[in-house]
Amino acid sequence: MKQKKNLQNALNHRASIEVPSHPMYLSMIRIFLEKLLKLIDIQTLIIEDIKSAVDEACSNVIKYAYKYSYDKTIKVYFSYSPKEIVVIIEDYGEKPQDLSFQGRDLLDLKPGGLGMHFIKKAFDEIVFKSSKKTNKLKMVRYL
Amino acid sequence: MEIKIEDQKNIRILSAMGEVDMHTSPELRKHLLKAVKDKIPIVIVDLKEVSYIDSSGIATLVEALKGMMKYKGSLKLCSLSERVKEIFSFAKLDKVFEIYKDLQDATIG
Repeated sequence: MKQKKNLQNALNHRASIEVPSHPMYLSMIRIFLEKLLKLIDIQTLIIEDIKSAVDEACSNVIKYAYKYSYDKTIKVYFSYSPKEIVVIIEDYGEKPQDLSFQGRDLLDLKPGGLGMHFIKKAFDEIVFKSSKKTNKLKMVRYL
Repeated sequence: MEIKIEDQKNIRILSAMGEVDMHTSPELRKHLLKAVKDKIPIVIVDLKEVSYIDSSGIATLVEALKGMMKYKGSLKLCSLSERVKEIFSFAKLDKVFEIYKDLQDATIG
């Protein structure tokens, strides 16, 4: 166990995946994250939360940045240190109009508006940056 | 994701298999909205074989629930995995939906 922890700390855990902006590729992103997080022995509950959050964030890219245009690109960058897990999602679509990162009131029963809650559940820090060409959503989970 | 449909007297059972996400939830939505349109009195969604559900899947179930409320129909969910249960609890939907341990309980409940 200690040996495994030492190995975790010694390795430079960085990886990325680039997929087309079609919803069929969301499952690939989930598999990518699950495999990576299992490799570094992250608790199952945290793995599931991160998978859900990144899935929701990528769905938002398809819906709001790319307006359901399926021939664009989504990049997901992952890094791990014993202190934190960082996931950055990059797209080349429109800048979102609402940057408040608010989900709907959970007591207000209506379809939609839950994705942001999943993102906030999994990550402690959420930062959005937009330049002329790219949008970057950086999400940090402290360990 | 695959969906198996079974009709019993006044009951339609939709058994979903696989992952429910932005790509697959439109298929579930199609079957649920058909049941709403047909005013099926009781619809049971069996989630036994569902390993993952995202907000679009949940939105689909909420939309169907609201549609069924209009004609006093009943939407029941059964056989939720621990993870799916946890998601419903987090979204405060565990008190909104009728959730049953398994298909048998949902059918007689």
